[in-house]
Amino acid sequence: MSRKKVSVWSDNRFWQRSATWVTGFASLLLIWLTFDTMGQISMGNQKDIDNHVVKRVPSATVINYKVEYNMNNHRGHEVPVIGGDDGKGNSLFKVKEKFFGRDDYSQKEADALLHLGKLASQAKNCMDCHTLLGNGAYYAPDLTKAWLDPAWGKNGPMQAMTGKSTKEEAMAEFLQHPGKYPTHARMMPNLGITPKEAVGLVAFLKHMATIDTNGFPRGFGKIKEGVVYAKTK
Amino acid sequence: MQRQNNFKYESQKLGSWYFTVAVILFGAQLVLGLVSAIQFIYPSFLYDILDFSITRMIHINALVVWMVYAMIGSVYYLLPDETGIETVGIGMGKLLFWILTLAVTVVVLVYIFIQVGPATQATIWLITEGREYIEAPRWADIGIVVVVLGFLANTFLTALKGRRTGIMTVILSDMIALAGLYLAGMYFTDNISMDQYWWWWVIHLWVEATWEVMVGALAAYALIKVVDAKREIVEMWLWIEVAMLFGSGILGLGHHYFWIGTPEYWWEIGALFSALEPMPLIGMFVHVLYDWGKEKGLKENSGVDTSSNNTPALLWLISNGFGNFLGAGVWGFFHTLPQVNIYTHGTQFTAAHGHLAFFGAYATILTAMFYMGIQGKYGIKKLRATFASKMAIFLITFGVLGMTVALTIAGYEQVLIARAQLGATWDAFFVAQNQLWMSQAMDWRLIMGIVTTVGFFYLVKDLLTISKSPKNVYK
Amino acid sequence: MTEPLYIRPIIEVSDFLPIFVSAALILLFGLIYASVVTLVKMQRLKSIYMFLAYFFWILQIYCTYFLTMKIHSQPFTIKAMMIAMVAYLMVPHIYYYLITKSEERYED
Repeated sequence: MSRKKVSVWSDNRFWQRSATWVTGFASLLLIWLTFDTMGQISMGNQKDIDNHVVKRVPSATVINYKVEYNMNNHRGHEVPVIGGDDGKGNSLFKVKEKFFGRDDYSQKEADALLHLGKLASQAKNCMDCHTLLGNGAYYAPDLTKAWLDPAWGKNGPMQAMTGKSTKEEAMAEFLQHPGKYPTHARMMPNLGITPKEAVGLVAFLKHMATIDTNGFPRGFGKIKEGVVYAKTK
Repeated sequence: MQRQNNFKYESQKLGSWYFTVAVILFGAQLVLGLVSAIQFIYPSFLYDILDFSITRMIHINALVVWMVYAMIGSVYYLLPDETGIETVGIGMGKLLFWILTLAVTVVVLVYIFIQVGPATQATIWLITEGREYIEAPRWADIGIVVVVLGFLANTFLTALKGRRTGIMTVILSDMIALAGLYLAGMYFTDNISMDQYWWWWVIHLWVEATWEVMVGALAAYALIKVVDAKREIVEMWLWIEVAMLFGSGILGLGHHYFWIGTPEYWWEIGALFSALEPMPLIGMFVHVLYDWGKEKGLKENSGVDTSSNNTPALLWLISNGFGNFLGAGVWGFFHTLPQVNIYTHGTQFTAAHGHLAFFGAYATILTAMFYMGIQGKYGIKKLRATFASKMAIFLITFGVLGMTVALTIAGYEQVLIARAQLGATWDAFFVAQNQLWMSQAMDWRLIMGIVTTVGFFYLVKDLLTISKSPKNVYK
Repeated sequence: MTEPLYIRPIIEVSDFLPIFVSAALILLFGLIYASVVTLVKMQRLKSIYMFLAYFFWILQIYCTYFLTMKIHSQPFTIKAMMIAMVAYLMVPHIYYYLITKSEERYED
């Protein structure tokens, strides 16, 4: 190999070192950001709710509270609102809501329900048809804010269809026997979900709706024209 | 033409075993993909027997596993070439191959026949972890880590004992990162934001960082072998590629952290590094163009035959340049900025991007490695593309492009109707699914899937018979 | 959180197609720009075509500008896109320089 004018830019060692430094630097930056993010997305507890501390991932005990997804002017997009809205899209942490007939789940009970629901969501492979927080498969609707879906509300069709008078009971019933309540040609399969698991799953869904997803999905269940459009189709 | 085994090293033979399983899994991926595509059109097909959740899961798991097999196979294949010696623990390597293959078989059988379990940790450990892409149960995770550690030990000891080239250095450090990252996918938490945060460490940092570097290293090796590229140059460029891929790819992770509960600053990080992620792809393209132009010039000036000694492999390498740019570059970039991504996240756009990117960036180069394996196995000096090689590359590329276009149209329709107009609810989802644009896109996706599968049959035929064709082989 | 974060207006339905097309064109024009630069430097195209290359780079900038406006970008995204455009301008030149340097050093 001839060594004519040797430029550093064509030096193997130089690029090897550059690659190492670039990789190292990017990795360190990622690790540093990870520490910060971990702090911000750790799950809150009932004390945070009592002290009106807004957590990105709130306590499992949010199942005791009314949950909404409202425009927050400060943030410029919708955010989960827990226990009532102060009119500006901030959580009041006051207004309770019955969940399977109770609104006094202790931290321990709520944690256990969420744990069961999260386990069930994995054991039944939810993510391979649905998206959770937008990630998963695209065969079935996104579940990020499913708890707030108008279809399950007072005026939606699902409560009447399942013969239940509350959202959570309608959801739990549907989850146990999806084959009995076909909404479209594409049906959810029967996954052997037990009554207990169904309650856990609904708690998991309600909790997921309270996670601050930076406004995703945009305009969820809010677009009036959309509903009209849906009906004329 | 005689068909005796010409491998000088056992390691190459082991590599060819891995290639064989990889091709079989590639076939399984296509079959399950077709079933899933049929289910989109006829939802009652195999309902409650083999549901979409299962077929789609195996479709993607087969893809991931065949690519991992092909990568491990490639490393075993090139190891003696690079180091100049036989792989030290070849017996252990073979044992690990059988363990891994057995484990994969058991996992797939459990997926098919047991499918789901009760909401207990036992399900997570024994049946499925239920986290998209890395559903393999925990026992298999641990098995995979053990096998990979054995593989790493094998490659390390061999590299230490033999020659240590730049390509080997890149592969070794990349394999450590690849194996280490898998650990991030092996834990359970009730906090789904936390869950998905670490889940992306495995998915993104595999697919958009360590895998890219791995195929970069394989491409470097292939270029030395196929077109006699100078090692010093190829290795220098490999380091530049590593710098660019890791420089943009590691923090490009940010584009998965827009909407999963993570803080807003990931918008900025994700946007900036995603905008930079196409740079290495543009660079690689410039390089390919330069080499092509130079070779053409040489040919015109001196009449020297500079043609490659393995045209099918070269054709697949070239399609990698285009496929990577289109699939990872164009199809990645147009839905990556957060302002757009809030509408496209979780739609068929992602599926379109996934199909073209995995094919363009990985399937192409790994298929080139299959052809190099054939060349090595039968000691062929010059391998010429047959009719089947050309049909394979044409039909597979055309089929994947067709599926990508169909899924892009479906995704676009979904963005407009389900997201922008109707606000992403249950109703909105089904209104969009029932549109003609969606259902016809799904028809086309199935048709193009069939085209791809026909191409795959040509590929298998070619891999099995090309060495017997006297016209296409020069000893 | 004390100061207001970004306001993110809704994208017009009719704007989605132009957004996707312009985003795809950014990369395609970038590719053409890089190719023409390379071919001119290799003298496989006459040097007059260099103008064509920069013309494509300008088209690329226009597409980027169009895209960032249509998606109502925040200042940071605008800066990120500007960085990307400068990078596009330089990358083919740097690449070509490195290719020739490495060939000079290791070839023959």
